[in-house]
Amino acid sequence: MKNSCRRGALLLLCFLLLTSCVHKTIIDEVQIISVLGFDKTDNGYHGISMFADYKKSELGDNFLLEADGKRARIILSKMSDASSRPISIAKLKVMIVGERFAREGINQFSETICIDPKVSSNVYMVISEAPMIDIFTMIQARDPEHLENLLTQTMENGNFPTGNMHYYLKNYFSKGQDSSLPIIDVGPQQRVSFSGYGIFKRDQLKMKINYVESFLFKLMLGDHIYGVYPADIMKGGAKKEIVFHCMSGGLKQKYYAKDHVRYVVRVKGFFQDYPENMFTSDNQMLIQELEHNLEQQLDKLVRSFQKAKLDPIGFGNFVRQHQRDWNADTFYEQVYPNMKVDIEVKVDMQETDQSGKNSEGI
Amino acid sequence: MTNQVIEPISEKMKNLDELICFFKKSSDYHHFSPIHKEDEIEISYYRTLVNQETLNQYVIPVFQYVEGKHPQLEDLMRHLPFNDMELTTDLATIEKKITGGFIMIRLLKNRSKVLMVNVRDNKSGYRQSNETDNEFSVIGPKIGFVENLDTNIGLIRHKLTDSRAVFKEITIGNMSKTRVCLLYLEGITNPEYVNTAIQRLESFSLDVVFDSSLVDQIISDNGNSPFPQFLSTERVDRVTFAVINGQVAILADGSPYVFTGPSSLNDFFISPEDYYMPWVVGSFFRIIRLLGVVFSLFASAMYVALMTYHFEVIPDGLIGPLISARAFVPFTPLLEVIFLEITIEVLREAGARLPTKIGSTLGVVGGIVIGQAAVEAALTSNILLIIVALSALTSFTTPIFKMSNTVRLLRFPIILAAACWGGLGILIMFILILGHLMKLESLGSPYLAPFYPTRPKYWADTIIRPSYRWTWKRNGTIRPIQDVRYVPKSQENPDHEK
Repeated sequence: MKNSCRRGALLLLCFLLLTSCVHKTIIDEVQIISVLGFDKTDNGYHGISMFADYKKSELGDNFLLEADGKRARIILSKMSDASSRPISIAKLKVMIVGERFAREGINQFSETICIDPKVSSNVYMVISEAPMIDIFTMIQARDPEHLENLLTQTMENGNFPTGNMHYYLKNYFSKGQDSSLPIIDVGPQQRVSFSGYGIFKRDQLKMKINYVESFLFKLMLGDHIYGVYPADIMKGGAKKEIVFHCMSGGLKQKYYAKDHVRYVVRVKGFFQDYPENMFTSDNQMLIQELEHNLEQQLDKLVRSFQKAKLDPIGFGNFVRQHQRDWNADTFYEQVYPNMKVDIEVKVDMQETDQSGKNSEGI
Repeated sequence: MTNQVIEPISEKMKNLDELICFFKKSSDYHHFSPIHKEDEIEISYYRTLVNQETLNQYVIPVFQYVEGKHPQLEDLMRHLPFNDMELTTDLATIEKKITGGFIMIRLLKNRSKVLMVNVRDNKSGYRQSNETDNEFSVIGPKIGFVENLDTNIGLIRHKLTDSRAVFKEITIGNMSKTRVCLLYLEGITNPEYVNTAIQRLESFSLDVVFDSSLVDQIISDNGNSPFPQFLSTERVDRVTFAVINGQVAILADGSPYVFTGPSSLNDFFISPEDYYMPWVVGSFFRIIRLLGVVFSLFASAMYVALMTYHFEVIPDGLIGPLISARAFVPFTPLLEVIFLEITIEVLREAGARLPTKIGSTLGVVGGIVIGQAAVEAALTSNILLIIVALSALTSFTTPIFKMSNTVRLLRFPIILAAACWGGLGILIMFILILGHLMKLESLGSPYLAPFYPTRPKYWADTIIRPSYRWTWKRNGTIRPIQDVRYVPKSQENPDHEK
């Protein structure tokens, strides 16, 4: 009895010693940074962060902190010095990288964020074409979760492939695929808008693709296929635009040789906003046209990637699955630029839009 | 020294007269001759213990009948219409019986030999109502135990009309001489538990057994554990259920609570009502109850841990309300929680000490007024108020009062651990509690059975309450001698076999 009491006391003492190992961060005694941005200046880096102060209202008032420095932690600690409470990046939601900085290489800053165990790997990383301060003043005027919600929403319901720090790091460390991040810009009505996608080589921004190409890129990645695609249709010698609303789809890859693969994209959806003199009765023709159009566009996109020796789609990973002695350097130097990629698109009609009804039939 | 205390007073007396003189010191001790001829017969008894009506109607007339006939004690014995009578000369027996409500009849011719007649008043002072106020159920019998042992045994016998039910009586308490009864089913209950229980009951001494819970605590396997190791209840159906499943029940005179064992942790979260409702509904309520316990144990501690250390795991939508609720609270989350938890405990304690009517008013006043005022005075945040109130509420869903007290007590060390080490602290406390439970035994049977030791065969009636089709076997973890409780319908009818 006495022995067990003593043992219990000793155990408790050991646990008590552990108390000094934890750092208290009481929720209302820290500034919880939700958006963090970095850009390159002429002599170092400039960081801006946004935190929400919930003390006055549940909705939160946004405040900005700015600091200059050469390393991420220095910038963060300078921000902390400028604030009445210490800052914490534990609940970071979005990390914005300036375009100039992205072209130079973002690794040294992204590493600071990603090795912090408290930071979630769901942090969105975006590239900003506009000056950082413009973006921040825009999101400051809105609610604290605005930018995060915008990104989530667009990736789910829009033309942009899913991308966050987890995907970025996965591609950064993998040898057979290059990372890619969304690009934001100042849009109309002083709102943040997407302008395209940035393709990276390691941690350096090398290439930008536009809004429509982002959808094509999303198709080629094969996960969560959803989006709206304006297709050019040739009818009677005139070029017309029809909107294809893609609801779901799938991707099948086939390996023929180390320099010959086949990608079959199957998309399901329906047409919207039929042009004049086009009706649902023309669907068969429209599908053929769309398939042809998509195949052409995808081919063009892949070719542009090949030309730039960039592989955001992950051909390298796919070939590597089928090849025992795959080597990243030889593959990207010799095989990839001339690789034959057959692309086939199959379109399935799911619904019919009212705009295409034949008025003569009524 | 110790022997002197428990030695009966009769040991020091030389003869009966001396003992009677000692008894006479008490003003309620009556010693008189019922017949005019002074020195022939004398009777003596404690007026407060015997039934006066019986005495006047059946005992005194006998004396009048034998008046002048120079009766012997044996003659009186033949005439008195009682079955519990004894001729004795032993001072210790006399003392024990007099204090137990017997009357003593003595002839002057033979002064050392006396006749003891039991005219004890069994009903006086006992309450009439035996509703199960403290373990209420909407469906099912509402009859509960009272303070009288014989009534209680009768209640069980009414329900358990089986000759295999054996009540073994032991007297405990050198001053109260309380009758303690052990109930088991011969041929079903494992004799190991019966022997262990009897051995434990016989191996301790008390002066007064105020309630069966004293016995419960003393004979429990680990007296230092916060967990009750015997299930104590005032419901007849619950005791019967335990006994038919192969447990023993211990009743004590003067206590409306009967305790049963060996119990496992799971037994404490079972309400008899589960068995009176359709099994789907019963299982649902049982799961709600179990979730309630988990919530009650960990909710406040989680609040402390999250607010103090791990705010990053709080969902985005909750961060704003949590911070703005705490905006003007000057205390750390720990102090905030401890303050509210203690307030709730004080309210509960005050409610329990006050008469029912004032108690319920106090609950309303305390719950609403103090809670609201505390939030407005910025002593606590309103989100915490909800958490603490809910966790207090959920702790009351536990059907056994002793277990719900344990749950409320264990909250505090978990909160403190959460304040010291955050989520790790909660984990440490959980592991310590789990380790303790794994080591704990009730009458030598594992407390966490059938989960530890793991016996999936007997998991049927634990977290869910299965249909009666599946519960025809007794729980094997307490090793009943006979397995089968009843024959389910499908087995009775051979057509259903295939």
